[in-house]
Amino acid sequence: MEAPTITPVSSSPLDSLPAQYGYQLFAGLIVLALALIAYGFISKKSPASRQRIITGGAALLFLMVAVFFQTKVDTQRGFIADQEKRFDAMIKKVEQEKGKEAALKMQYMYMPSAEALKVMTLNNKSLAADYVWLTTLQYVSNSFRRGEKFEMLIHFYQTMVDLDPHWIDAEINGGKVLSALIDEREKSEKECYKYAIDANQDNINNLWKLYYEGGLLYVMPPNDPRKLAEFSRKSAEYFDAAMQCPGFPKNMEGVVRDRVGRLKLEAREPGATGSSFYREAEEMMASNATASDTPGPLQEISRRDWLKAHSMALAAALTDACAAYKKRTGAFPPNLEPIVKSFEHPDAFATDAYGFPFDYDAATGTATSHGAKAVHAVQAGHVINNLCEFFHAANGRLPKDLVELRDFVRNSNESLLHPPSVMVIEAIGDAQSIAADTSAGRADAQKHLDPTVGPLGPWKYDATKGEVVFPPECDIKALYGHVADFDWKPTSITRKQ
Amino acid sequence: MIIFTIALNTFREAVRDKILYVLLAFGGLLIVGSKAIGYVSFGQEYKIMADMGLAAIWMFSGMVSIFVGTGLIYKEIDKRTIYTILSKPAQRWQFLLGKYLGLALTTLVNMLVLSTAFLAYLWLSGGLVTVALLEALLMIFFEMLVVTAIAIFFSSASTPILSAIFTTIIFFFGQLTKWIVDLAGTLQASAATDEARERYRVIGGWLYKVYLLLPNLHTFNIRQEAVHAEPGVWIGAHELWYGTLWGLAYTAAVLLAAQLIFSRRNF
Repeated sequence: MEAPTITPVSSSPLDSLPAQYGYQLFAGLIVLALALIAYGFISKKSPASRQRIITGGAALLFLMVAVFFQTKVDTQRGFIADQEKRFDAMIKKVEQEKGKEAALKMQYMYMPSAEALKVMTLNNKSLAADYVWLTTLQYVSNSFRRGEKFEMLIHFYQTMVDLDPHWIDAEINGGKVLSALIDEREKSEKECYKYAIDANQDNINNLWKLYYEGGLLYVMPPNDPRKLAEFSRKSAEYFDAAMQCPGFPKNMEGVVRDRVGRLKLEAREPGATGSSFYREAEEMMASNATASDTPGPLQEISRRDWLKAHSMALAAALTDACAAYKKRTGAFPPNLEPIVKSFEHPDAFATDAYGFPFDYDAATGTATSHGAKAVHAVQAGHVINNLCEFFHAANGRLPKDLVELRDFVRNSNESLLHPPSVMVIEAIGDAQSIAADTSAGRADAQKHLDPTVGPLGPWKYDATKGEVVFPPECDIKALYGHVADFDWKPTSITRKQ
Repeated sequence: MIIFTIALNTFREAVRDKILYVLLAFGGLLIVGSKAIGYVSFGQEYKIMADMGLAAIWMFSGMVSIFVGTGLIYKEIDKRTIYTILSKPAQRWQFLLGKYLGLALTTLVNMLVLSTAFLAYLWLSGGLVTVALLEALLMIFFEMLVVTAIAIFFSSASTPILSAIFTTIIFFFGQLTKWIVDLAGTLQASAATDEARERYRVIGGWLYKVYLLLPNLHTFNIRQEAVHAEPGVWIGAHELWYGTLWGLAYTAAVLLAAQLIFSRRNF
């Protein structure tokens, strides 16, 4: 018997079985069959027993003959792998003759519509959904590529949702896999999560899971840093919606509320103002920091974040007031004094939460929290110090000044810098000058990295140590010193009429 | 007493039928095999096991009702044993009811075996045995009572092959009858003119009347809800009771129709 030629595309358990064992087994069974037939003829048992033995032997022999011919068929038809190759070739041919759309539609034919599946399974919709799910897994896990995976899989996903909308686990897992297949999260949000959410409006106990997953979809920073604020806002909205659903677990409220607060902090657009946004964030942080069921470490983190949120809320309120002042008088105020006096509680604006007076740019009418900038400077400074180590590892010496470091980071091919990670861009990048496209945008962002200037102005650099010199206000212990005696009370930031 | 005697005898005869054990074996195989499919389901093992288990019990219980039930009366006529029974003080309706109850008992035992195997396997595999799953199994049994009555109806009028074909068609079609009502709505919505819309509305009315007379077996299908139900949560008790009462009423109507045919039959 000739061994079939197998060229597997995907792995099969049979691949690990040595071929000779198959031959030995085959030969052994044929010998057994012949032996049974012979024994049936020569045995001295009763005729009925002999007939049974001969019949059994003959059945086994015919089965082995069938196996023999099966392997012949597989040799000629090339087994499953070659079948798939032929299918791929056919799809390519259709694509060349009729276009990509036609080829994709041809493959869609392998997945009947939800209505057709309901009929085929005699109204066992749950079973039909299981079939669709298993078929989807085959497409995802198969090594060959046919057409555009996301476009085809989304059809499967939505069919599954149509058949069994309350199958939340599969919808969540499917959504995760699909969102990993494309860069555009907005597309997977619309086609997966929103689709499933719309279908589950009556599933009051589990709907929160879909909103929660929608929040997780946007929690990861985007490739294009200009979208960070938008992603954070969307993520916060989804988490908010999840918390408002009836079935949301009580033990998750603290953590999620904290996360929403942080996301709202991140959701500031470059140059955007609006204190209500930060007020919500600081209220959430304060709630987490004082709630008795919040774990100790989380309370500590929430208090620190509250300092930033409160400072930014006050700064945003001042900036809003400056804009209103300009609208009234035609110019921004020369300093913050007339602005502060316009609030019902001017003493609330004496300093930010870190104890620093607010910084004010009269040219743009923007107030910023010196303390928040100091915290940012601490983070940025550590990133710059790490980059100095990168420079040292690449060149065998420390950079002589930050200009040399700047040239290095702008031209380096290190994975952290080419393209630069979101952390590096936030520390020493200029988000305003980044191009619109995702991967090209981040590559362009590298050209605009500038470690010479920090949130508090130009850095001082110690060439002997290869470190930046932190300004006195960047003392972390002092910055977070207020945390120990945290006693947040709501402060009115309403302007006088 | 006669009814129960006939029922018990029918049960004893049915359990000797080899087709019952073949169906039980295949049902068990499908339940056990569902775990293998569950392995490749990326974390959805228990859901798929529950789906396949319930579907297997539904399908094989239906096949028991059909294949055993459609031959019941015909066998008695063919073997001429019916003369012996009816020559005793046993009315035809008692004979029919006894046969029905015997087959219902056979279906119950068959379902108990499969259900026990299914629930035990699910529990041993780490899945949850919820109240809703038990409700789904109960509704499958009520559905089989209706199917059994239909099988008896055809069996009293026709040969086993034709009875099996008709009962199978009704068993399948009964899952899809609500599409008749949906069809009317679809036609009405897609009508281009007011006249067409009005015509489809009238047709829809008649289709709805036809729908009410058909065996709407989908009424008993709560398998999808059962699979997703939380532990300790009952599924819509009110709706299930109405469905059950419908099933009992429909069964009575079918059996009475069977009696009408059987009472006039000469053999």
